[in-house]
Amino acid sequence: MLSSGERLFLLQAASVIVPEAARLDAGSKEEFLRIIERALETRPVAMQRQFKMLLRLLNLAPVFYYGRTFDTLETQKRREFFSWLQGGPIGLLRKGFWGLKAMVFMGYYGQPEAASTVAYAPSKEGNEKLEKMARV
Amino acid sequence: MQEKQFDIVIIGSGAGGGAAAQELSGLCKDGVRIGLLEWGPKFRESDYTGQELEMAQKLYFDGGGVLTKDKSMTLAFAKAYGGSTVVYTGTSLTILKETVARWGVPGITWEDLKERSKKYISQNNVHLLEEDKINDNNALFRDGCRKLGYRVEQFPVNVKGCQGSGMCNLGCPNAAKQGTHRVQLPAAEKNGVQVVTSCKVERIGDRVLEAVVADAGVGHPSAWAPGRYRVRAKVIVVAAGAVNSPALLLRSGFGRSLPALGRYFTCHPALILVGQHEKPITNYYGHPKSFYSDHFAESGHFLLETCMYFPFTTAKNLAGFGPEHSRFMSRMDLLQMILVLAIDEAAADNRISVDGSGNPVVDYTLTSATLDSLYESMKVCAKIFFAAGAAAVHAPAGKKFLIKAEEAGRLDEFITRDELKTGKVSIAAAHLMGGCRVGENSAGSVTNVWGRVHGVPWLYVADASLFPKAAEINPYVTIMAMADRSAEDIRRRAPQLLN
Ligand SMILES: Cc1cc2nc3c(=O)[nH]c(=O)nc-3n(C[C@H](O)[C@H](O)[C@H](O)COP(=O)(O)OP(=O)(O)OC[C@H]3O[C@@H](n4cnc5c(N)ncnc54)[C@H](O)[C@@H]3O)c2cc1C
Ligand code: SF4
Repeated sequence: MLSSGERLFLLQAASVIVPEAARLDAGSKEEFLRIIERALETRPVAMQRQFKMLLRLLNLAPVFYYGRTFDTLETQKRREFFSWLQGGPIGLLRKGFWGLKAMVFMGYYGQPEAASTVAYAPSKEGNEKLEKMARV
Repeated sequence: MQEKQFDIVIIGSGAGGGAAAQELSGLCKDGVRIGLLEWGPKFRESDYTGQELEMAQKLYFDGGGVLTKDKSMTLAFAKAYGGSTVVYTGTSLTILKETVARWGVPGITWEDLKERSKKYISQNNVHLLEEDKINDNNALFRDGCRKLGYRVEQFPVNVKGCQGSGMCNLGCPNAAKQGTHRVQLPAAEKNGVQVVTSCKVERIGDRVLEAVVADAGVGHPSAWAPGRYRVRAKVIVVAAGAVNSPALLLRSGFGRSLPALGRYFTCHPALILVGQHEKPITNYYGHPKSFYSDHFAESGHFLLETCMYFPFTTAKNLAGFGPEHSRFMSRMDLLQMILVLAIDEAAADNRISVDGSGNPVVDYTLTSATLDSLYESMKVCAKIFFAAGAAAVHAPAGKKFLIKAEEAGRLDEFITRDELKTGKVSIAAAHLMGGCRVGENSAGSVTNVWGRVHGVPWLYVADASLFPKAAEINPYVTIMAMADRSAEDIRRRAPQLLN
């Protein structure tokens, strides 16, 4: 359901939002996109449309600042642009950027394998582990 | 369309619907036919995998991220046999006397709600966890509050055989949390209530409703085959939650005679705040929520609770992105977390409406008073984290991503009100209340003090939507108490309603 342009934008945005995303292997990148697609599929149609519009808008908006679209900017400029969106005066853009960030975090940290990279190892028997750690 | 007939139909099986089903089920022995229609499926034990995204998609509406109309906040509520009690943390508090006084509804007394709450507290095995089950994340909050002289209490929780997986909000994988799916619904079914899952009620007419059963693709199959149903009943009890109950009544046309329908929605807008320790602490092992502080409830209109979230939820609740965000996220074992709940005013303009297709729209504006509370809470929490020994604190309205312990004396400089911007700061809510508020007449409320819809003698509400104002504490026990009142009125009027 995501077009190739939208997929490319999401991957480029991801490598700014979570720098490690740039180093994901092809399979994990595919999984990243699949998670986002699946989440979108379960959302109301109006929201799916708005998200796609947001991606298009965010790719075009840097033209007004840098004279270039997001996909042609270097990483530092992409980061500056996102920082401006996040803290800027336009509420709609801040919220839109939050939506983009949430999707990127979902695609990245939502992969079960991500848990081991963030020192997070929950267990169904957490109390047992707690007890063992208290004894150490 | 297939036809079905009951004497009483309950819509929704969460805290309210589950309590109502149990309290009405005694009528079954006199031949009263009771049905409960629940949109969500009944999950199998093997469905509770503890995987964050998988469970969020299975259990919650919009994966737990239902957006308000202005997109400033997300709402979490579940769709399942057991409703949001499947995903709640199970902290079980009785409403405060002062809150009921503030509600100011003649006929609703604290003494009455307290008595009814006692029953559910006892049924749900509510107790305090032993000291050896308290992890560092919880103990540090308690110790930090005590050092600062803030009042702090242990949460009573409703667990039986808790293994401390910390996965309460993903559905308990150890069948320990005593939600309505474990206690009240099985009791009701045993007494003869028929529960039909994966069944969405679309509209209510005069003692009739239209519903659709669809294959949920997960959990136990529904008692009814997929398809459309017309269900007749002499009494209809709406317990679809604070978003869906008003929406269902609005799309059924009840808004014409009930101007307050959908209005006065409150939700305890919440922030997740995070401190970072130098050395690993125990946080994801053990029950996640053991302490709370209501020290600032009166003066600052916010409550503080311990919490521990999963990687994606944590990541999206931090303001910022890029290398410093990633570095912070990469050591979840260092993180201490506090959940802030703002006590929001009930405003007529904060309301549930429906769009052209009849779907709910949550039109909620965060007032400056609520934002002020959230702002103050960030500074208070930073003090608690530092008092507990944290090396750094992330304040979403911070001028920088991390405030270091040596900067603890400069919180006013680093955390400023103008940085608390919607969108930049992630705000979410899980205590959804109001929309069908109780009251004296149809001008300012939807039901009478027994949950009976004004002017419609066969129609009741029995869930969080009844709240006239915010609960000012974790609400589920009070929701059950309010539903208990609705059920009592139906029982009292049964001879007249059911003949
Ligand atoms: C993550 C989380 C943690 C929480 N932790 C706590 C806690 O520790 N302590 C506490 O006191 N509270 C807690 N809460 C809040 C508490 O769970 C809710 O306030 C409570 O469950 C609401 O009860 P309810 O009956 O109003 O609605 P719900 O429990 O949400 O139940 C409503 C049910 O109605 C169904 N439904 C909706 N529309 C329809 C329809 N059209 N047809 C058929 N069925 C329908 C839904 O699928 C749902 O199952 C938490 C909530 C969440 C989300
Ligand atoms: S912490 Fe206890 S109650 Fe919560 S999910 Fe784990 S076992 Fe269940």
